[in-house]
Amino acid sequence: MEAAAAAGSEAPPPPAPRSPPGYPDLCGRHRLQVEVQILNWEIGFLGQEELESLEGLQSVSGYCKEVNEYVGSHADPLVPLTKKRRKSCRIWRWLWAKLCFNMSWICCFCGCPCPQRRPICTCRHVKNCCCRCRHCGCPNKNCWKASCCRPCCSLRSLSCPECSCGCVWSCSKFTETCSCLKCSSTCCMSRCLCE
Amino acid sequence: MSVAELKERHIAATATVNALRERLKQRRQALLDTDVAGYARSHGKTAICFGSTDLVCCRTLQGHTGKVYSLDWTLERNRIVSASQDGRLIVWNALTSQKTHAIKLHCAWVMTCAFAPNGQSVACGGLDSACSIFNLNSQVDRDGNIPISRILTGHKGYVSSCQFVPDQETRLITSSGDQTCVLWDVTTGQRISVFGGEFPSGHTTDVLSVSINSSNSNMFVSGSCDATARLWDTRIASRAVRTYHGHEGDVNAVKFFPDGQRFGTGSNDGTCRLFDMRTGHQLQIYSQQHGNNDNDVPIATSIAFSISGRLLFAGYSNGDCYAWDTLVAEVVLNLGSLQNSHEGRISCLGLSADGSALCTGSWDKNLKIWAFGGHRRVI
Repeated sequence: MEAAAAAGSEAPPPPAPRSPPGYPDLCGRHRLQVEVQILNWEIGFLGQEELESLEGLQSVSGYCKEVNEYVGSHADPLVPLTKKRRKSCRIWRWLWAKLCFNMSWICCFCGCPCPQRRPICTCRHVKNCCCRCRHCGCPNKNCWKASCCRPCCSLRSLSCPECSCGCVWSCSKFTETCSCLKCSSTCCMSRCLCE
Repeated sequence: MSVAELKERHIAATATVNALRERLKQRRQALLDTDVAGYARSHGKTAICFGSTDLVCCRTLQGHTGKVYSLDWTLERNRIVSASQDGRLIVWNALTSQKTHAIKLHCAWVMTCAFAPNGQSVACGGLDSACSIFNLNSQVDRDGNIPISRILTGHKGYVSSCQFVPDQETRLITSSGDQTCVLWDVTTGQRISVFGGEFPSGHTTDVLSVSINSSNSNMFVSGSCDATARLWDTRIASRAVRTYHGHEGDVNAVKFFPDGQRFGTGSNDGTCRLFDMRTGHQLQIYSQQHGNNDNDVPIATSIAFSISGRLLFAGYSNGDCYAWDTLVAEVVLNLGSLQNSHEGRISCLGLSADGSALCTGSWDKNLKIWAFGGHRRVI
Protein backbone atom coordinates (compact mmCIF):
# COMPACT_ATOMS: atom_id res chain seq x y z
CA MET A 1 0.00 0.00 0.00
CA GLU A 2 2.82 2.23 0.87
CA ALA A 3 4.32 1.35 -2.50
CA ALA A 4 1.07 2.28 -4.13
CA ALA A 5 1.03 5.55 -2.23
CA ALA A 6 4.64 6.19 -3.22
CA ALA A 7 3.76 5.38 -6.79
CA GLY A 8 0.79 7.72 -6.53
CA SER A 9 3.01 10.50 -5.23
CA GLU A 10 5.21 10.07 -8.29
CA ALA A 11 2.29 10.25 -10.72
CA PRO A 12 3.22 11.50 -14.13
CA PRO A 13 2.66 15.20 -14.63
CA PRO A 14 -0.70 16.16 -16.07
CA PRO A 15 -0.79 16.27 -19.84
CA ALA A 16 0.15 19.59 -21.28
CA PRO A 17 -0.09 20.86 -24.83
CA ARG A 18 3.04 20.29 -26.84
CA SER A 19 4.49 22.68 -29.34
CA PRO A 20 4.53 21.24 -32.82
CA PRO A 21 7.84 19.92 -33.98
CA GLY A 22 10.09 22.47 -35.65
CA TYR A 23 9.56 22.03 -39.42
CA PRO A 24 12.47 23.02 -41.59
CA ASP A 25 11.93 26.57 -43.08
CA LEU A 26 12.24 25.36 -46.65
CA CYS A 27 10.59 28.43 -48.16
CA GLY A 28 12.81 30.87 -46.29
CA ARG A 29 15.94 28.90 -47.15
CA HIS A 30 14.97 28.64 -50.77
CA ARG A 31 14.15 32.33 -50.86
CA LEU A 32 17.55 33.17 -49.38
CA GLN A 33 19.30 30.96 -51.92
CA VAL A 34 17.47 32.65 -54.79
CA GLU A 35 18.26 36.08 -53.40
CA VAL A 36 21.95 35.24 -53.04
CA GLN A 37 21.98 33.95 -56.63
CA ILE A 38 20.37 37.17 -57.86
CA LEU A 39 22.84 39.26 -55.89
CA ASN A 40 25.78 37.30 -57.32
CA TRP A 41 24.41 37.80 -60.80
CA GLU A 42 24.06 41.52 -60.17
CA ILE A 43 27.64 41.68 -58.85
CA GLY A 44 28.84 40.16 -62.08
CA PHE A 45 26.67 42.46 -64.16
CA LEU A 46 27.65 45.64 -62.31
CA GLY A 47 31.31 44.77 -62.18
CA GLN A 48 31.82 43.56 -65.68
CA GLU A 49 29.29 45.25 -67.82
CA GLU A 50 28.14 48.45 -66.22
CA LEU A 51 31.52 49.70 -65.00
CA GLU A 52 33.28 48.59 -68.18
CA SER A 53 30.68 50.29 -70.31
CA LEU A 54 31.58 53.59 -68.68
CA GLU A 55 35.14 53.30 -69.92
CA GLY A 56 35.56 55.37 -73.03
CA LEU A 57 32.21 57.12 -72.65
CA GLN A 58 32.29 60.78 -73.45
CA SER A 59 31.15 63.27 -70.86
CA VAL A 60 27.51 64.29 -70.64
CA SER A 61 28.09 67.53 -72.55
CA GLY A 62 28.54 65.53 -75.75
CA TYR A 63 25.06 64.08 -75.40
CA CYS A 64 23.59 67.44 -74.40
CA LYS A 65 24.99 68.78 -77.65
CA GLU A 66 23.15 66.05 -79.55
CA VAL A 67 19.89 67.03 -77.87
CA ASN A 68 20.39 70.69 -78.72
CA GLU A 69 21.23 69.90 -82.33
CA TYR A 70 18.25 67.64 -82.79
CA VAL A 71 15.80 70.14 -81.32
CA GLY A 72 17.27 72.97 -83.34
CA SER A 73 16.96 71.10 -86.61
CA HIS A 74 13.27 70.20 -86.36
CA ALA A 75 10.27 72.48 -86.75
CA ASP A 76 7.56 72.31 -84.12
CA PRO A 77 3.92 73.32 -84.63
CA LEU A 78 3.46 74.05 -80.95
CA VAL A 79 6.42 76.34 -80.47
CA PRO A 80 5.85 80.06 -81.10
CA LEU A 81 8.13 81.23 -83.83
CA THR A 82 9.86 84.55 -83.56
CA LYS A 83 12.01 86.09 -86.21
CA LYS A 84 13.69 89.42 -86.23
CA ARG A 85 12.67 91.95 -88.77
CA ARG A 86 15.35 93.56 -90.81
CA LYS A 87 16.35 96.98 -89.52
CA SER A 88 15.22 98.70 -92.68
CA CYS A 89 11.79 97.16 -92.28
CA ARG A 90 11.48 98.48 -88.76
CA ILE A 91 12.35 101.94 -89.94
CA TRP A 92 9.70 101.83 -92.62
CA ARG A 93 7.08 100.73 -90.14
CA TRP A 94 7.99 103.48 -87.73
CA LEU A 95 7.82 106.03 -90.51
CA TRP A 96 4.44 104.91 -91.72
CA ALA A 97 3.10 104.76 -88.23
CA LYS A 98 4.12 108.36 -87.70
CA LEU A 99 2.64 109.53 -90.98
CA CYS A 100 -0.53 107.50 -90.51
CA PHE A 101 -0.58 106.47 -94.13
CA ASN A 102 -3.34 104.19 -95.07
CA MET A 103 -1.65 102.37 -97.83
CA SER A 104 -2.01 98.69 -97.45
CA TRP A 105 0.25 97.85 -100.31
CA ILE A 106 3.11 99.58 -98.50
CA CYS A 107 2.04 98.30 -95.13
CA CYS A 108 2.64 94.85 -96.38
CA PHE A 109 5.64 95.88 -98.39
CA CYS A 110 8.29 95.19 -95.88
CA GLY A 111 8.97 91.58 -96.51
CA CYS A 112 5.62 90.25 -95.41
CA PRO A 113 5.13 86.97 -97.20
CA CYS A 114 1.37 87.13 -96.96
CA PRO A 115 -0.08 86.98 -100.43
CA GLN A 116 -3.43 88.36 -99.42
CA ARG A 117 -3.42 91.91 -98.27
CA ARG A 118 -6.22 93.57 -96.54
CA PRO A 119 -8.09 96.31 -98.32
CA ILE A 120 -7.76 98.26 -95.13
CA CYS A 121 -4.53 98.23 -93.25
CA THR A 122 -3.56 100.99 -90.92
CA CYS A 123 0.01 100.76 -89.83
CA ARG A 124 -0.81 101.99 -86.39
CA HIS A 125 -2.92 98.93 -85.89
CA VAL A 126 -0.51 96.39 -87.08
CA LYS A 127 -2.67 93.69 -85.64
CA ASN A 128 -5.16 94.25 -88.41
CA CYS A 129 -2.53 93.75 -91.02
CA CYS A 130 -2.22 90.35 -92.47
CA CYS A 131 1.50 90.53 -92.00
CA ARG A 132 0.95 88.85 -88.68
CA CYS A 133 -0.21 85.69 -90.27
CA ARG A 134 1.85 84.20 -92.96
CA HIS A 135 -0.76 82.15 -94.67
CA CYS A 136 -4.05 83.88 -94.26
CA GLY A 137 -6.07 82.10 -96.83
CA CYS A 138 -9.46 83.08 -95.51
CA PRO A 139 -11.94 83.00 -98.35
CA ASN A 140 -14.09 85.52 -96.60
CA LYS A 141 -12.64 88.93 -97.19
CA ASN A 142 -14.56 90.31 -94.28
CA CYS A 143 -13.06 87.93 -91.86
CA TRP A 144 -11.97 90.68 -89.54
CA LYS A 145 -15.48 90.81 -88.22
CA ALA A 146 -15.83 90.06 -84.56
CA SER A 147 -17.98 87.08 -85.25
CA CYS A 148 -15.27 85.28 -87.12
CA CYS A 149 -13.11 82.97 -85.17
CA ARG A 150 -10.22 82.62 -87.53
CA PRO A 151 -6.97 82.86 -85.63
CA CYS A 152 -5.36 84.98 -88.30
CA CYS A 153 -7.89 87.67 -87.64
CA SER A 154 -6.88 89.78 -84.71
CA LEU A 155 -10.49 90.48 -83.89
CA ARG A 156 -11.09 86.83 -83.40
CA SER A 157 -14.06 86.28 -81.21
CA LEU A 158 -13.38 84.65 -77.92
CA SER A 159 -16.96 83.59 -77.66
CA CYS A 160 -16.38 80.42 -79.58
CA PRO A 161 -13.44 78.71 -77.94
CA GLU A 162 -14.64 75.42 -79.27
CA CYS A 163 -14.13 76.54 -82.82
CA SER A 164 -11.64 74.49 -84.69
CA CYS A 165 -10.14 77.59 -86.22
CA GLY A 166 -7.87 77.65 -83.22
CA CYS A 167 -6.25 74.46 -84.27
CA VAL A 168 -3.55 73.90 -86.78
CA TRP A 169 -4.67 70.57 -88.05
CA SER A 170 -5.79 71.92 -91.33
CA CYS A 171 -4.03 70.33 -94.18
CA SER A 172 -4.71 70.04 -97.85
CA LYS A 173 -5.60 66.43 -97.24
CA PHE A 174 -8.21 67.22 -94.68
CA THR A 175 -11.74 67.42 -95.98
CA GLU A 176 -13.96 67.75 -92.98
CA THR A 177 -14.99 71.11 -91.70
CA CYS A 178 -16.23 71.96 -88.27
CA SER A 179 -19.23 73.96 -87.35
CA CYS A 180 -18.94 76.25 -84.43
CA LEU A 181 -22.26 76.49 -82.66
CA LYS A 182 -21.51 79.77 -81.02
CA CYS A 183 -20.61 81.71 -84.10
CA SER A 184 -23.21 79.71 -86.05
CA SER A 185 -21.16 79.46 -89.14
CA THR A 186 -18.83 77.00 -90.67
CA CYS A 187 -15.42 77.89 -89.40
CA CYS A 188 -12.59 77.60 -91.79
CA MET A 189 -9.55 75.72 -90.73
CA SER A 190 -6.36 77.54 -90.00
CA ARG A 191 -3.36 76.97 -92.18
CA CYS A 192 -1.30 73.90 -91.88
CA LEU A 193 2.22 74.28 -90.70
CA CYS A 194 3.34 71.50 -92.97
CA GLU A 195 2.67 73.68 -95.99
CA MET B 1 24.69 25.14 -46.96
CA SER B 2 23.04 26.12 -43.72
CA VAL B 3 20.64 29.00 -43.35
CA ALA B 4 23.17 30.85 -41.22
CA GLU B 5 25.79 30.55 -43.95
CA LEU B 6 23.28 31.67 -46.52
CA LYS B 7 22.45 34.70 -44.42
CA GLU B 8 26.12 35.61 -44.15
CA ARG B 9 26.56 35.30 -47.90
CA HIS B 10 23.45 37.42 -48.42
CA ILE B 11 24.84 40.18 -46.21
CA ALA B 12 28.23 40.06 -47.94
CA ALA B 13 26.71 40.06 -51.42
CA THR B 14 24.42 42.97 -50.54
CA ALA B 15 27.41 44.96 -49.30
CA THR B 16 29.33 44.20 -52.51
CA VAL B 17 26.37 45.26 -54.67
CA ASN B 18 26.00 48.51 -52.74
CA ALA B 19 29.72 49.24 -53.05
CA LEU B 20 29.66 48.59 -56.79
CA ARG B 21 26.60 50.81 -57.22
CA GLU B 22 28.32 53.59 -55.32
CA ARG B 23 31.41 53.21 -57.50
CA LEU B 24 29.23 53.33 -60.59
CA LYS B 25 27.50 56.45 -59.30
CA GLN B 26 30.81 58.17 -58.71
CA ARG B 27 32.11 57.25 -62.16
CA ARG B 28 28.96 58.72 -63.69
CA GLN B 29 29.28 61.80 -61.53
CA ALA B 30 32.76 62.35 -62.89
CA LEU B 31 31.36 62.42 -66.42
CA LEU B 32 28.57 64.82 -65.44
CA ASP B 33 30.30 68.02 -66.56
CA THR B 34 27.01 69.74 -67.41
CA ASP B 35 23.37 69.07 -68.11
CA VAL B 36 21.15 69.98 -71.03
CA ALA B 37 20.20 73.34 -69.52
CA GLY B 38 23.77 74.23 -68.67
CA TYR B 39 24.92 73.39 -72.16
CA ALA B 40 22.05 75.30 -73.81
CA ARG B 41 22.60 78.42 -71.71
CA SER B 42 26.31 78.39 -72.40
CA HIS B 43 25.41 78.48 -76.08
CA GLY B 44 23.07 81.41 -75.76
CA LYS B 45 19.77 79.60 -75.69
CA THR B 46 16.89 81.30 -73.89
CA ALA B 47 13.51 80.00 -72.91
CA ILE B 48 10.79 80.16 -75.52
CA CYS B 49 8.07 82.64 -74.79
CA PHE B 50 4.40 81.77 -74.99
CA GLY B 51 1.84 84.49 -75.47
CA SER B 52 -1.48 84.30 -73.69
CA THR B 53 -3.26 82.91 -76.74
CA ASP B 54 -0.48 80.87 -78.26
CA LEU B 55 -1.76 77.58 -76.90
CA VAL B 56 -5.49 77.37 -76.44
CA CYS B 57 -7.99 74.76 -75.47
CA CYS B 58 -9.85 74.26 -78.70
CA ARG B 59 -11.88 71.19 -77.78
CA THR B 60 -13.42 69.76 -74.65
CA LEU B 61 -14.45 66.14 -75.11
CA GLN B 62 -17.30 65.48 -72.73
CA GLY B 63 -19.02 62.18 -72.31
CA HIS B 64 -17.27 60.06 -69.74
CA THR B 65 -19.06 59.78 -66.41
CA GLY B 66 -15.97 58.81 -64.48
CA LYS B 67 -12.33 59.76 -64.15
CA VAL B 68 -10.36 59.51 -67.37
CA TYR B 69 -7.34 57.27 -66.87
CA SER B 70 -5.77 56.86 -70.27
CA LEU B 71 -5.86 58.11 -73.85
CA ASP B 72 -4.17 57.43 -77.16
CA TRP B 73 -4.20 59.04 -80.60
CA THR B 74 -4.38 57.27 -83.93
CA LEU B 75 -1.49 57.61 -86.30
CA GLU B 76 -3.75 59.46 -88.71
CA ARG B 77 -7.31 60.74 -89.05
CA ASN B 78 -7.11 62.45 -85.68
CA ARG B 79 -9.09 60.08 -83.55
CA ILE B 80 -8.58 59.51 -79.87
CA VAL B 81 -9.49 56.57 -77.67
CA SER B 82 -9.98 57.19 -73.97
CA ALA B 83 -10.52 54.89 -71.01
CA SER B 84 -12.42 55.86 -67.92
CA GLN B 85 -13.43 54.70 -64.47
CA ASP B 86 -16.99 54.57 -65.84
CA GLY B 87 -15.99 51.30 -67.46
CA ARG B 88 -16.05 52.52 -71.04
CA LEU B 89 -13.72 53.18 -73.89
CA ILE B 90 -14.78 56.08 -76.08
CA VAL B 91 -13.39 56.75 -79.52
CA TRP B 92 -13.59 60.41 -80.47
CA ASN B 93 -13.22 62.33 -83.68
CA ALA B 94 -10.84 64.93 -82.31
CA LEU B 95 -11.74 67.57 -84.87
CA THR B 96 -15.50 67.43 -84.50
CA SER B 97 -15.66 66.21 -80.88
CA GLN B 98 -18.05 63.51 -82.00
CA LYS B 99 -17.98 60.10 -80.39
CA THR B 100 -17.62 57.41 -82.99
CA HIS B 101 -17.63 54.42 -80.61
CA ALA B 102 -18.50 53.83 -76.98
CA ILE B 103 -17.41 50.41 -75.76
CA LYS B 104 -18.73 49.04 -72.51
CA LEU B 105 -16.11 46.92 -70.83
CA HIS B 106 -16.58 43.68 -68.95
CA CYS B 107 -14.29 44.96 -66.24
CA ALA B 108 -14.90 48.57 -65.31
CA TRP B 109 -11.49 48.95 -63.67
CA VAL B 110 -9.63 49.90 -66.78
CA MET B 111 -6.24 51.57 -66.48
CA THR B 112 -4.87 51.82 -70.00
CA CYS B 113 -5.90 51.92 -73.65
CA ALA B 114 -4.14 52.08 -76.98
CA PHE B 115 -4.91 52.33 -80.68
CA ALA B 116 -3.54 49.80 -83.13
CA PRO B 117 -1.31 51.30 -85.82
CA ASN B 118 -3.99 50.86 -88.47
CA GLY B 119 -6.59 52.57 -86.29
CA GLN B 120 -9.02 49.67 -86.68
CA SER B 121 -8.57 48.14 -83.23
CA VAL B 122 -8.18 49.31 -79.70
CA ALA B 123 -6.68 47.55 -76.71
CA CYS B 124 -7.31 48.10 -73.03
CA GLY B 125 -6.32 46.55 -69.73
CA GLY B 126 -6.71 47.01 -66.01
CA LEU B 127 -7.45 45.24 -62.77
CA ASP B 128 -8.75 42.17 -64.57
CA SER B 129 -5.06 41.39 -65.29
CA ALA B 130 -5.87 40.95 -68.95
CA CYS B 131 -5.61 42.97 -72.13
CA SER B 132 -8.75 43.08 -74.28
CA ILE B 133 -8.71 43.84 -77.99
CA PHE B 134 -11.74 45.29 -79.79
CA ASN B 135 -12.13 45.56 -83.55
CA LEU B 136 -13.94 48.82 -84.23
CA ASN B 137 -15.43 47.43 -87.43
CA SER B 138 -17.07 44.49 -85.67
CA GLN B 139 -20.82 43.99 -85.69
CA VAL B 140 -22.31 44.98 -82.39
CA ASP B 141 -23.98 42.34 -80.26
CA ARG B 142 -27.57 42.25 -79.07
CA ASP B 143 -26.92 44.86 -76.42
CA GLY B 144 -25.30 47.19 -78.90
CA ASN B 145 -21.81 46.52 -77.59
CA ILE B 146 -18.73 45.76 -79.61
CA PRO B 147 -17.59 42.25 -78.68
CA ILE B 148 -14.07 41.45 -77.57
CA SER B 149 -12.13 40.10 -80.53
CA ARG B 150 -9.21 38.80 -78.46
CA ILE B 151 -8.31 38.66 -74.81
CA LEU B 152 -4.68 38.40 -73.76
CA THR B 153 -4.41 36.55 -70.48
CA GLY B 154 -1.33 35.54 -68.55
CA HIS B 155 -0.39 38.45 -66.36
CA LYS B 156 -0.59 37.71 -62.65
CA GLY B 157 -1.28 41.31 -61.77
CA TYR B 158 -3.07 44.36 -63.11
CA VAL B 159 -2.25 45.65 -66.57
CA SER B 160 -1.00 49.20 -66.07
CA SER B 161 -0.02 50.18 -69.59
CA CYS B 162 -0.19 48.85 -73.12
CA GLN B 163 1.16 49.91 -76.48
CA PHE B 164 1.05 48.37 -79.95
CA VAL B 165 4.44 47.93 -81.59
CA PRO B 166 4.47 50.79 -84.13
CA ASP B 167 5.29 48.96 -87.33
CA GLN B 168 3.71 45.65 -86.42
CA GLU B 169 -0.05 45.46 -86.30
CA THR B 170 -0.07 42.16 -84.49
CA ARG B 171 2.25 42.85 -81.60
CA LEU B 172 1.55 44.57 -78.34
CA ILE B 173 3.57 45.22 -75.19
CA THR B 174 1.97 45.42 -71.77
CA SER B 175 3.31 46.35 -68.36
CA SER B 176 1.89 44.90 -65.18
CA GLY B 177 1.68 44.94 -61.44
CA ASP B 178 3.20 41.46 -61.52
CA GLN B 179 6.62 43.14 -62.11
CA THR B 180 6.84 42.07 -65.74
CA CYS B 181 6.33 43.38 -69.23
CA VAL B 182 5.04 41.04 -71.91
CA LEU B 183 5.25 41.05 -75.70
CA TRP B 184 2.09 39.52 -77.18
CA ASP B 185 1.04 38.17 -80.52
CA VAL B 186 -2.43 39.66 -80.81
CA THR B 187 -3.63 37.31 -83.55
CA THR B 188 -2.95 34.18 -81.50
CA GLY B 189 -3.26 35.67 -78.04
CA GLN B 190 0.05 34.09 -77.05
CA ARG B 191 2.88 35.58 -75.05
CA ILE B 192 5.98 35.86 -77.19
CA SER B 193 8.33 37.06 -74.44
CA VAL B 194 8.20 37.95 -70.76
CA PHE B 195 10.54 40.66 -69.53
CA GLY B 196 11.47 40.48 -65.88
CA GLY B 197 9.79 38.35 -63.24
CA GLU B 198 11.82 35.24 -62.68
CA PHE B 199 14.85 36.57 -64.48
CA PRO B 200 17.37 38.80 -62.78
CA SER B 201 17.64 42.48 -63.74
CA GLY B 202 13.88 42.74 -63.98
CA HIS B 203 11.86 45.25 -62.06
CA THR B 204 11.47 44.41 -58.42
CA THR B 205 7.98 45.83 -58.01
CA ASP B 206 4.98 46.88 -60.10
CA VAL B 207 5.69 48.14 -63.60
CA LEU B 208 3.57 51.20 -64.33
CA SER B 209 4.41 52.38 -67.81
CA VAL B 210 5.96 51.38 -71.09
CA SER B 211 7.17 53.24 -74.17
CA ILE B 212 8.36 51.70 -77.42
CA ASN B 213 11.12 53.34 -79.42
CA SER B 214 9.60 54.52 -82.69
CA SER B 215 13.06 54.64 -84.29
CA ASN B 216 13.85 51.06 -83.33
CA SER B 217 10.79 49.09 -82.32
CA ASN B 218 12.92 46.30 -80.87
CA MET B 219 13.68 48.56 -77.94
CA PHE B 220 11.29 49.70 -75.26
CA VAL B 221 11.62 51.26 -71.87
CA SER B 222 9.56 50.58 -68.75
CA GLY B 223 8.99 52.57 -65.56
CA SER B 224 8.28 51.03 -62.19
CA CYS B 225 7.44 51.52 -58.55
CA ASP B 226 11.03 50.45 -57.81
CA ALA B 227 12.02 54.00 -58.85
CA THR B 228 13.90 52.84 -61.92
CA ALA B 229 13.38 52.80 -65.61
CA ARG B 230 14.72 49.84 -67.59
CA LEU B 231 15.55 49.40 -71.22
CA TRP B 232 14.62 46.13 -72.90
CA ASP B 233 15.43 44.51 -76.21
CA THR B 234 12.47 42.43 -77.36
CA ARG B 235 14.90 39.92 -78.82
CA ILE B 236 16.58 39.34 -75.45
CA ALA B 237 14.00 38.76 -72.77
CA SER B 238 16.38 37.28 -70.23
CA ARG B 239 17.71 40.55 -68.90
CA ALA B 240 17.28 44.29 -69.08
CA VAL B 241 19.78 46.05 -71.31
CA ARG B 242 20.21 48.86 -68.82
CA THR B 243 18.74 50.20 -65.61
CA TYR B 244 18.36 53.93 -65.03
CA HIS B 245 18.57 55.17 -61.49
CA GLY B 246 17.91 58.64 -60.18
CA HIS B 247 14.27 58.99 -59.29
CA GLU B 248 13.25 58.86 -55.66
CA GLY B 249 9.77 57.55 -56.18
CA ASP B 250 7.58 55.49 -58.48
CA VAL B 251 8.24 56.12 -62.16
CA ASN B 252 4.70 56.65 -63.40
CA ALA B 253 5.43 57.61 -66.97
CA VAL B 254 8.11 56.96 -69.57
CA LYS B 255 8.23 58.32 -73.11
CA PHE B 256 10.92 58.24 -75.77
CA PHE B 257 12.40 61.51 -76.99
CA PRO B 258 11.65 62.05 -80.70
CA ASP B 259 15.22 61.18 -81.74
CA GLY B 260 14.90 57.70 -80.27
CA GLN B 261 18.20 58.04 -78.38
CA ARG B 262 16.82 59.50 -75.17
CA PHE B 263 13.72 59.12 -73.09
CA GLY B 264 11.87 61.08 -70.46
CA THR B 265 10.35 59.92 -67.20
CA GLY B 266 7.79 61.30 -64.75
CA SER B 267 7.73 60.27 -61.13
CA ASN B 268 6.07 60.39 -57.74
CA ASP B 269 9.05 62.45 -56.57
CA GLY B 270 7.57 65.32 -58.55
CA THR B 271 10.33 65.47 -61.13
CA CYS B 272 10.67 64.59 -64.76
CA ARG B 273 14.05 63.48 -66.07
CA LEU B 274 15.75 63.00 -69.38
CA PHE B 275 18.03 59.97 -69.74
CA ASP B 276 20.39 58.99 -72.51
CA MET B 277 19.32 55.52 -73.59
CA ARG B 278 22.68 54.23 -74.76
CA THR B 279 24.87 55.44 -71.91
CA GLY B 280 22.51 55.64 -68.96
CA HIS B 281 23.45 59.25 -68.26
CA GLN B 282 20.84 61.42 -66.62
CA LEU B 283 20.94 64.46 -68.87
CA GLN B 284 18.46 66.75 -67.14
CA ILE B 285 16.09 67.04 -64.21
CA TYR B 286 12.88 69.03 -64.68
CA SER B 287 11.82 70.09 -61.23
CA GLN B 288 10.02 72.96 -59.55
CA GLN B 289 10.79 74.30 -56.10
CA HIS B 290 8.17 73.40 -53.54
CA GLY B 291 7.61 73.76 -49.82
CA ASN B 292 9.56 71.70 -47.30
CA ASN B 293 6.71 69.29 -46.80
CA ASP B 294 7.09 66.34 -49.17
CA ASN B 295 3.34 65.88 -49.17
CA ASP B 296 2.98 69.17 -51.03
CA VAL B 297 4.97 68.05 -54.04
CA PRO B 298 2.55 67.16 -56.84
CA ILE B 299 3.42 63.93 -58.56
CA ALA B 300 4.13 63.77 -62.26
CA THR B 301 1.55 61.41 -63.71
CA SER B 302 2.11 61.62 -67.46
CA ILE B 303 4.53 63.07 -69.99
CA ALA B 304 4.84 63.67 -73.73
CA PHE B 305 7.41 65.38 -75.94
CA SER B 306 6.53 67.77 -78.71
CA ILE B 307 7.54 66.67 -82.17
CA SER B 308 10.89 68.47 -82.11
CA GLY B 309 11.57 67.62 -78.49
CA ARG B 310 11.71 71.28 -77.55
CA LEU B 311 8.71 70.97 -75.26
CA LEU B 312 8.08 68.39 -72.59
CA PHE B 313 4.47 68.35 -71.48
CA ALA B 314 3.98 66.95 -68.00
CA GLY B 315 0.68 66.37 -66.21
CA TYR B 316 0.57 66.53 -62.43
CA SER B 317 -1.71 65.34 -59.65
CA ASN B 318 -2.75 68.90 -58.72
CA GLY B 319 -4.19 69.66 -62.16
CA ASP B 320 -1.16 71.50 -63.46
CA CYS B 321 0.09 70.66 -66.92
CA TYR B 322 3.48 72.19 -67.46
CA ALA B 323 5.13 72.78 -70.77
CA TRP B 324 8.84 72.51 -70.01
CA ASP B 325 11.37 74.02 -72.36
CA THR B 326 13.55 70.92 -72.48
CA LEU B 327 16.67 72.82 -73.46
CA VAL B 328 16.71 75.32 -70.61
CA ALA B 329 14.67 73.30 -68.10
CA GLU B 330 12.15 76.05 -67.43
CA VAL B 331 8.38 75.92 -67.28
CA VAL B 332 7.23 78.10 -70.16
CA LEU B 333 3.51 77.52 -69.84
CA ASN B 334 1.07 75.99 -67.41
CA LEU B 335 -2.00 74.74 -69.23
CA GLY B 336 -3.61 74.35 -65.83
CA SER B 337 -3.74 78.12 -65.49
CA LEU B 338 -5.23 78.82 -68.90
CA GLN B 339 -8.84 79.48 -69.73
CA ASN B 340 -10.95 76.31 -69.90
CA SER B 341 -8.35 74.23 -68.14
CA HIS B 342 -9.08 70.99 -66.30
CA GLU B 343 -10.49 70.98 -62.81
CA GLY B 344 -8.77 67.90 -61.53
CA ARG B 345 -5.69 65.73 -61.71
CA ILE B 346 -4.19 65.31 -65.14
CA SER B 347 -4.00 61.54 -65.52
CA CYS B 348 -2.84 61.17 -69.11
CA LEU B 349 -1.76 63.16 -72.10
CA GLY B 350 -0.51 62.63 -75.62
CA LEU B 351 0.50 64.45 -78.77
CA SER B 352 -1.21 63.91 -82.10
CA ALA B 353 0.85 62.16 -84.75
CA ASP B 354 1.70 65.39 -86.56
CA GLY B 355 2.58 67.13 -83.31
CA SER B 356 0.08 69.92 -83.82
CA ALA B 357 -2.22 69.15 -80.92
CA LEU B 358 -1.98 67.92 -77.36
CA CYS B 359 -4.77 65.98 -75.68
CA THR B 360 -5.03 65.84 -71.91
CA GLY B 361 -7.26 63.58 -69.82
CA SER B 362 -8.29 64.30 -66.29
CA TRP B 363 -10.06 63.05 -63.21
CA ASP B 364 -12.62 65.79 -63.95
CA LYS B 365 -14.05 63.30 -66.50
CA ASN B 366 -13.09 65.39 -69.51
CA LEU B 367 -10.50 65.35 -72.21
CA LYS B 368 -9.22 68.57 -73.68
CA ILE B 369 -7.36 69.30 -76.86
CA TRP B 370 -4.84 72.09 -76.98
CA ALA B 371 -3.40 73.56 -80.12
CA PHE B 372 -1.50 76.55 -81.33
CA GLY B 373 -3.63 79.68 -81.37
CA GLY B 374 -2.28 80.66 -84.75
CA HIS B 375 -0.43 83.87 -84.06
CA ARG B 376 3.18 84.05 -84.99
CA ARG B 377 4.95 87.00 -83.54
CA VAL B 378 7.30 89.00 -85.68
CA ILE B 379 9.58 91.24 -83.67
